[in-house]
Amino acid sequence: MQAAFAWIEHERAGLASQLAERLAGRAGSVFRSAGEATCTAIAEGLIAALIADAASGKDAAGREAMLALVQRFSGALAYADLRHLATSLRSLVLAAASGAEPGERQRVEDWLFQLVLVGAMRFVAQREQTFQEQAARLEVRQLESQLEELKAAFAEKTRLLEVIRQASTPVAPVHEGILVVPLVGMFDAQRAQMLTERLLNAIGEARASVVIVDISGVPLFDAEAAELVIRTSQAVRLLGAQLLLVGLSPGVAQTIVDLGVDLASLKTMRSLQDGISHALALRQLRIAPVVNGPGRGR
Amino acid sequence: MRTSRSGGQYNGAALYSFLLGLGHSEALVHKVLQDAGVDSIDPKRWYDINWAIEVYFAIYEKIGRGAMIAVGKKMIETAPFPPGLDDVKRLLMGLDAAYRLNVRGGADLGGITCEFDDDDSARLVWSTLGPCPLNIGIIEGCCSRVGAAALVEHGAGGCMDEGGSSCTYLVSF
Repeated sequence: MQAAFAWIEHERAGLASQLAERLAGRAGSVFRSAGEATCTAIAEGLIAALIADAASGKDAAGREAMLALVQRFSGALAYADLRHLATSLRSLVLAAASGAEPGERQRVEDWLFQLVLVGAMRFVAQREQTFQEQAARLEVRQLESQLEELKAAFAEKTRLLEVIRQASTPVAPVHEGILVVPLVGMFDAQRAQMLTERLLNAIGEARASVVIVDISGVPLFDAEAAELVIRTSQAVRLLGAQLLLVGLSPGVAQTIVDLGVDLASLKTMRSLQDGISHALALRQLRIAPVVNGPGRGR
Repeated sequence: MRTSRSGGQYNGAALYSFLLGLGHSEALVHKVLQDAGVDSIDPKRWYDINWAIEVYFAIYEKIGRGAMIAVGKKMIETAPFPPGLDDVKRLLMGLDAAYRLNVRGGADLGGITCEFDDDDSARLVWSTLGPCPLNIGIIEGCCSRVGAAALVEHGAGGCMDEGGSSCTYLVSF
């Protein structure tokens, strides 16, 4: 009496070589690209798994072989490749099993079915992983691109702010020895530093003795801003000039008092006009009307 | 991008239909055509095939692979077809003839071969000059046009967009 599944062992070499030939013969398949030797190894592995599982009554070897196969061609395996493998193996094995006992034939059918299930499951899992990796790479690329855009926007914004700061801290010589600095917008530490630098240079260049800082265009003048002006004033004084602070509104004056800021070291005035008058007086000058009556002047 | 050295021509109607498939991206089409030196495509004239293929690739570069597949699919889904082409096998078999209706005058313009492994799968080898994702879209369009839910996969063995001489597409439906 013949041993169970003896026909498989008998057909082993033929099955493997025919399967390898089919795998290698299909144009465009991942198996053909991998070469004949790989196709032979895959075919021999699957037939060996069939024999092992037939002997053990389990599906473990087939399962392992299929998992290894999907893993081996990770990312490159197409569904059509898997389909070609499964249909080729099935047709060859069932042809070889044509004379086998019905029970053995059914067992082989079940084994092939399990093989397809495992292959499909691993294929889907592999593809899912590939999609996830692609999606992650895409997200990273998008984030990098957004970051680059933000960096460029930030650099542009910084440049514009610098332009605005430069433009909003003009130092205007209004008369010999008198400079006027009309401040517009927020007055922060960075701007105070810029003001001090520009002012000290301008004092040197213009040989100025009076600097009038007009803060009527500064929306918020708090204790910190006052401290910054006092420091600027001290620096101005070191060059032998005097800083007049003008443009204090009643509200700002009240705030400064409430905050307890001591502006005693600063000469403060209500308006730019008062400041200019005071500055002229300091230089022993005054604004006088041009007398242009009949018979006088031109 | 592969080119023709034999001075082939490409049917303006095909290029026009592709641009129509882009639908809402009018600004993009305008920009690409302007870069290519024209204001619009005349569907009744023939264009230098290399110029036409450059237009395809310029658009591919701007819209990406997924959108290119979608445009190819839309092109076929809405294109007028002769009566009788009502099953996926006939449509796939007819792709080479359709391609040849849109190219002329060159010996190196390539073609499309189609083989069926069984009733539910086919293998198509394309050696045409257009971008690979457009071909995938065209195949998907052929299948969806007749209601076949198909899976189109790029086979192993090289891709024309990466310097290969042909692309193989494995179609399961």
